Amino acid sequence: MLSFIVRRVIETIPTLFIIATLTFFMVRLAPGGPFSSEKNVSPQVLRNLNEHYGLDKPVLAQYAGYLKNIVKGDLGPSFKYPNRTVNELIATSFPVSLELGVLATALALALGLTAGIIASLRPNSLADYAPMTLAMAGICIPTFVVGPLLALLFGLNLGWVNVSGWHSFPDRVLPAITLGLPYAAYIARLCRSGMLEILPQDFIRTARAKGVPEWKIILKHALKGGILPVVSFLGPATAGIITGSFVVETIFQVPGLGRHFVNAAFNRDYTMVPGIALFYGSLMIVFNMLVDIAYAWLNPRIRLGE
Amino acid sequence: MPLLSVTNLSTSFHSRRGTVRVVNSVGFNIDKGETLGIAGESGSGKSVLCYSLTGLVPQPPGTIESGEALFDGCDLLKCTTEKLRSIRGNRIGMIFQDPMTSLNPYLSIGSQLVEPLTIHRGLSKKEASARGIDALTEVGIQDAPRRMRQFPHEFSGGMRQRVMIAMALINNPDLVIADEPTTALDVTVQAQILDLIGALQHKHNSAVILVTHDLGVIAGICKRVMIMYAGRVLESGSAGQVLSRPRHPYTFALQKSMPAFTKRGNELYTIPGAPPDLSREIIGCPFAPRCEFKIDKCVNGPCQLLVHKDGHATACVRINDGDLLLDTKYRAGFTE
Repeated sequence: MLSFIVRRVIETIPTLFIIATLTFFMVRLAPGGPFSSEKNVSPQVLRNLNEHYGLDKPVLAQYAGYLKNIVKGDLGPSFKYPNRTVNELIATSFPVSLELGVLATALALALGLTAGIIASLRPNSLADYAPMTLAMAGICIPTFVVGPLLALLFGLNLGWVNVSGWHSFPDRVLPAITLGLPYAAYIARLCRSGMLEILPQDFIRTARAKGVPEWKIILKHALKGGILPVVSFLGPATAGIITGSFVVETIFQVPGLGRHFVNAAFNRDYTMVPGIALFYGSLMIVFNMLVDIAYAWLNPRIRLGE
Repeated sequence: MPLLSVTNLSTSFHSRRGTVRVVNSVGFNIDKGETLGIAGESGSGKSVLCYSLTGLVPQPPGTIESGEALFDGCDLLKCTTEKLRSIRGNRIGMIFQDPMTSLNPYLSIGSQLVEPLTIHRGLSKKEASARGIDALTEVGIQDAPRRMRQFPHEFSGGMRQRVMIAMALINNPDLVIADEPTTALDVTVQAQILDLIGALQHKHNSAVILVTHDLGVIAGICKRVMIMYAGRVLESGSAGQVLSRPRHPYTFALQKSMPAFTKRGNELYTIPGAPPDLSREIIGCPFAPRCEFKIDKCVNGPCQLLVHKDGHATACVRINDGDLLLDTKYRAGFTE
C-alpha cells in the first residue's frame, strides 16, 4: 500500500513536468500578451513591465527560471493581478471551489446511489423508468439551463435563498444542486447497471439461502460489487466537479477557482495558466489514486502495485 | 412424523414463449437424519424443486402453482417471507453446485461464513468468529484463523466447497439441501466432499437432500432415492430397490448409460433423443418418446406414480399394469 502510494507519487513527476512545459509554451504561443489589453501603455511602461516580469529574457531562460521556481513550490507572480502571486490566488479561491465541490459530490452520491439502487431492484418497472428518465434528463440538460431556472424558482419566485453570492449556508444550496445534478444522474445510471450485474449472481442466492435480510443483501452483498463502476467514474468526476464549476461559479457569483482558470487564459496570464493547470493536474492525480485505493479495497481480486 | 413432507408441488416459469412447468406435482417425505437422493438428467427440475422449498425461486418469472411442504408444522410454500428467512440458513442449510460463483468474491471468507450465526443466533462478532474458525477446521481447512481473513479467490474449488459446507452446517440445521455439490469439482475431490457431507451429517444428525445426476453418488450415500424427469417423479424407493431392481425404464436407461455398467471396449450407451419441451402439455408418460419399451398406452394413456406394496413407487404404466418386467436379465444381457 505504502509502496504503491510512493510509486504513484513518483510517477506523478513526469506528468506534472509535461503539464508545466506544455502550458508554459502554449500560452506564450497564443497571440497577444498579458499586457496587450491594457489601454494606452507607452513603450517605456511596457518595457518596464516586461523587465519586471522577466519577459525580456529569452524564452528558454524564462522556462528554466519557471521550472526552478515550481520545484520550490512557487508558481510565480500573477501578471493580471498586480502584487499577488498565483499561490495566493489559488489559496484564497480554491477552498471555495472545494467546498462547493464536496457539497455537490455528496449530493450527487446520495441522490445517485439511492436512485440507482431503487431502479435496479425492480428493473423495467415504474420504479426503474421514472428515476432513469429523470437521470437521462439530468445528463442532457446543461448546467447553464438548470442553474438560472433554479435561481428563478427558489430565489426570485419563492424567495427561499439568495440568487447569488457566497456568504451563508443557504447560498451554497443552489450552486451545489446545479453542479451535482448531472453527476447524480450519471451515478444513478452507473449504479443501476452495476447492481443489475451483481443481483442475479449465484452468491446473492447463497446470501438469501443463509437467511440474510433483503436490505442487508443489497447493502452488504451486492453494493460492494455493484458500486465499482461508480467508483471508477468518481475519480474523473470529482476532479471535474471541482475544476468544471466555472459555469456554476459564474451563474451564482461564487468566488471560486474556476473563474480564475478561464480568465487566466483570456488574460494571457503567463504564470496563472500553467499554475492552475499544474494545480488541477495534481488534484486529478490525487483523486485517481484515491479511486484506485478504494477500488482495491472494494474488489479484493485487485491488488495494488502488482 | 417426517421432518419434511412435500405433496403435489408444482412450479412454473412464465416467459413470452408460454408457461413452462418445471416441477410437476412432486411429493416426498424425509425423516430426521435421513438421506434422500434426487437424480435425473439436466433440466429435470431437481434444482428448481429445491429452490421452491426454500423460497429461492425468483418470482416473477417463477410461480409456485400448488403444493404443500410441511417442515416441522410450517408450510414452507405459504408461510411469510420473514418466517421462511428465519428458517433458511438456520434450520435448513443449502450447498450449491458451483463453489466458484456461490461465494461472494467481495467479502472475506470469515464474514460470509459466520453470517448465519450473527443473523439467526445473535452472536457477537467475536463469538461468531471463534465458531467460524472451529467450523473451518471441522471441514478440514488448515490454518483457519488466517483463512478466515482471506477472500474466495485465494481458495481452490474443493476448498471453496468445504467453506460452503461449513457455512450451510454452521447452525446445525435439521435439513441440508445439497444441489449437485460435486458436479463442478475434480473427480478426486468429489469423493472427499461426499465423505465430508456424510461425516458431518452423521455428527450433527441432519437430514440431507442430495441432488445429483450421478447414480453412483446416490448408491454410495443415500438411503432413499427419487428419480425425476421432465419435472415429475418417475420412480422412488429405497436405494437398494431403485438401483438394483429399477421399476422404470428411465432409471434403467440411466444405469445403462453409466460406464460401470458397460462392458469394457463396448460403446457407451446413450438415451436417444432429448427431454421434452415443458412448455407443451404432456399427455401420457413424459419419457415415452425415448423409451425402448413404449407401447400405445404409454403415449396416450394416463400416467401416475403408483406406490407398490413394498414401498417402491413407479410411474411406468406398463410396470404398474404388470405387463413389463425390467429383469436383471436385460441388464445382464448388457454387461456380459
